[in-house]
Amino acid sequence: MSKFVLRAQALAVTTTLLLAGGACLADTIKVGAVYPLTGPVAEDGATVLKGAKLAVKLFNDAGEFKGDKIELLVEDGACIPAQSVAAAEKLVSSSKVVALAGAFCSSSTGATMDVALRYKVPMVSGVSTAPNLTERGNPYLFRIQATSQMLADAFAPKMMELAGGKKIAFLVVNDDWGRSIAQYYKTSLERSGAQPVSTQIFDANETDLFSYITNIKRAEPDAIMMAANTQNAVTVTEQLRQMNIKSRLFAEGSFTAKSYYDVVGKKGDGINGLMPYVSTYDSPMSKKFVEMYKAAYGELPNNNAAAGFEELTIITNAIKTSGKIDPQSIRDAIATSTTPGPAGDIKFNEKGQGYGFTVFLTRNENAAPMIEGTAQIAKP
Amino acid sequence: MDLIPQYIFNGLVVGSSYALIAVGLTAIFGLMEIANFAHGQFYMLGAFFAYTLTRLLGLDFWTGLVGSVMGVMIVGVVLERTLFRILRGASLSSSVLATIALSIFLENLALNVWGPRPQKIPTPFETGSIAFAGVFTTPERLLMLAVTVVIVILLHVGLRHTQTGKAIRATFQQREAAALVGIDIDRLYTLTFAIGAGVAGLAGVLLGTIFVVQPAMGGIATLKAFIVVTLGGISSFAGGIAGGLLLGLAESFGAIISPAYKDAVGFILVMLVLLYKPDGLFGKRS
Repeated sequence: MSKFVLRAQALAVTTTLLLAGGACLADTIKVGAVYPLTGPVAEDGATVLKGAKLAVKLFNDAGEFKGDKIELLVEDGACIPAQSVAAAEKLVSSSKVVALAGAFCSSSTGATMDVALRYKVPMVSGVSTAPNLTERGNPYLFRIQATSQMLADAFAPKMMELAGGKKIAFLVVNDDWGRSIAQYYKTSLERSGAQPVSTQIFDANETDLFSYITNIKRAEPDAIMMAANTQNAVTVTEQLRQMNIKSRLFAEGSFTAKSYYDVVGKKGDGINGLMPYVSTYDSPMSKKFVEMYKAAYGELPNNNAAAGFEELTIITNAIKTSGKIDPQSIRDAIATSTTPGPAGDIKFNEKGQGYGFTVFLTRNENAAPMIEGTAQIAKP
Repeated sequence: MDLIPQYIFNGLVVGSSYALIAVGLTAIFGLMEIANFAHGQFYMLGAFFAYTLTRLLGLDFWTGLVGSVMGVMIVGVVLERTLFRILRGASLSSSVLATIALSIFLENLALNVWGPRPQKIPTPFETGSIAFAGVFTTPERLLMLAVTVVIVILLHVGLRHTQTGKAIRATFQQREAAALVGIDIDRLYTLTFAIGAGVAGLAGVLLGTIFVVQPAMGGIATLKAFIVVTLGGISSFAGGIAGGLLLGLAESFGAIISPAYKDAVGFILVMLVLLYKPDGLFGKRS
C-alpha cells in the first residue's frame, strides 16, 4: 500500500471520528461523579453509582430536555481525599462537566468541594454527613443528607429510652464522618442524660477489632453507637457477637445494606439504624423508586442507592428548570429547587444544607430493616 | 485489669497471621534479594480462591483450604518463572517498582473477577464463640493459632534437617558458593517462592473465615509484613515469627492506651529497633 493511500485513509477515518464526535457533543450534557470504586468502601460506592445511573436513565429516556442526553462520567476517588480531588480536577478541567456528584466519604467531599468552588461548578453530595461541610461558606456545595448532628438531635431521646441505661460507648471508623458521629451524638445524647464511657476509633482498613471491643467491654456500656460502611459493618457485627456483647446497638452507615445482610444474615438482627432512607418506607415516591430500582438491578435499594439517585435527580431537575447547561445557571437552579426524592422533598437552605425530607430509626429483623420511628428534618 | 488475658490472646491471633505472611516475604528477600511488594496479594488470592471453592463451588472447607493453597502456589511458581526471573539481579528500585505494579494489577484483577463486595469463607465449625479463663474467642481463631504453630515447626524442621532445607540455608549464606557446590539455584528459588506464596495464601484462607475477604486486603497485609520483617530482621525466619507476634501484641496493648494511635505503636517499635538494633531483633550484622 502506498504512503498516499495510507494517509488518505487516515484522513478519512479522522474526519469521520471528528464529525461523529461533533455530532455527539451537540446533545450530550456531561455530568461528573466521584465515588469510591476501589478500596474498603468500594461496595458502597458501587451502590451509589447504581442509584445515580438510574436517575440519568430516567432523564435520558424521558427526553424532556430538547432530546439532549446526559452522559455520566465516573471517576474513582477511593475515599482518599487526594485521589478524589485529582478525579474532580480531571472531570472539571479536562472533561468539562457542568456539575459534580460525590465524593461519598466526608473527608473526600471536604477536599473535593474546593475544586467545585475554584471552577464554579455545582457539587451535590448525597452521602457525606460531617456537619462542618456546609459551614464553610462554599456556595457551590449542596448536601442532601441530614448531618450526624441532625440525626442525633432527632432521635437522641428515643435512643436513650431504647438503651435502658445511661452508659454509652462509641465504636466508629477513623474519618471525618466517624469522628463527627462520636462528637455530635455525644453532645445530643448527653443532653438526654447519657454518660459517655468509651470512644473507640478504628481504621477502615483494619480487620481485627477485638482490642477495641475488649476496651468497650471493659466499660460495660448499656448501648453502643457505631459508624461503619459495609466491610467494617460486617466485621463490627461479627466480632461484637463473638465477644458476646449484650449492649443495645445503634448505627449509622451500611447496617441495612443488602451486601451487609448477605454476609451477616440474622447476626445483624436487633441493631437499630439511624438512616436517611430505607426501602421499607411506604411513601408513594419511595415505592416508585423501589420498583424502578428492582426492575433495573433485581435487588432492593438501600440508603446509598437512594443517595446516588437523589444526587443526580437534583442535577437533572436543575438542568430542566433552568433550561440552560452552564454550571452557574445549574447552581442557581439547585439553590432554589424543591426536588421530590425517595425520602421526601429536598430543599436547600442558604448554606446548601438539605432539609424537608424524612429520616428513619430502624431495627433489623430477619435481615431486613423495620421502621421504628421517623422524623422530618426542619430548615436548619 | 481482668481483661489482660483477652488483650494477649487478641494480639497473638493477629500476630500469628502477620507472622505467616512475613515468613514468605523474608524468605523471598533473603534468597532472591527481591523486596516483593505484591506478597500481600498472595494472601488476598488465597482468600478469594477459598471463597470460590467453598461458597461458589460448594466444596467443604478443608478441600477448599488445600485447593486454594495449591492454587496460590501455582500462581507463585508461574510468577517466579516469568516476572521474578527477569527481575533477578535487577536493581532494587526496578524490582520494587515492578512488584508494586504487580500488586496493583492483582488487586484490580480481583476487583474485576470477584467484585468489591466483602465476602466470607464459610466456617467449618458449628460453635460461635468459646469462653475460657475470661477470654472470649472463636474456634476459627484457635485454628489460626494452631496452624501457625504447625507451620513454624514444619519450616524449622524442614530447614534444619532436610537436604533441601540445608541447600536453602546454604544459598541464603552465599549464593555463588552454593551454586559452585552443585546446588540447583533455579529449583530452590521456585520452591521457596511457592512455599512463601502458599503460606501467605494459607493465612488468607484462615483469616477469611474470621474477617471479610475483599480485594483491598492485600495492600495492608504487605505493609504489615514489611513492618514485621524490619522488626525481626530481614532474612531471618525466627525474626519473622517473633516480629509478627511482637507487632500483634504491641498493637493489641497499644489499643488500650489510645485506639487512634494503635498503628503508630507498630511504627514506633520499628523506629526504636532501627535506632538501637538496625539489623532487626534477630538479624545478623551485615
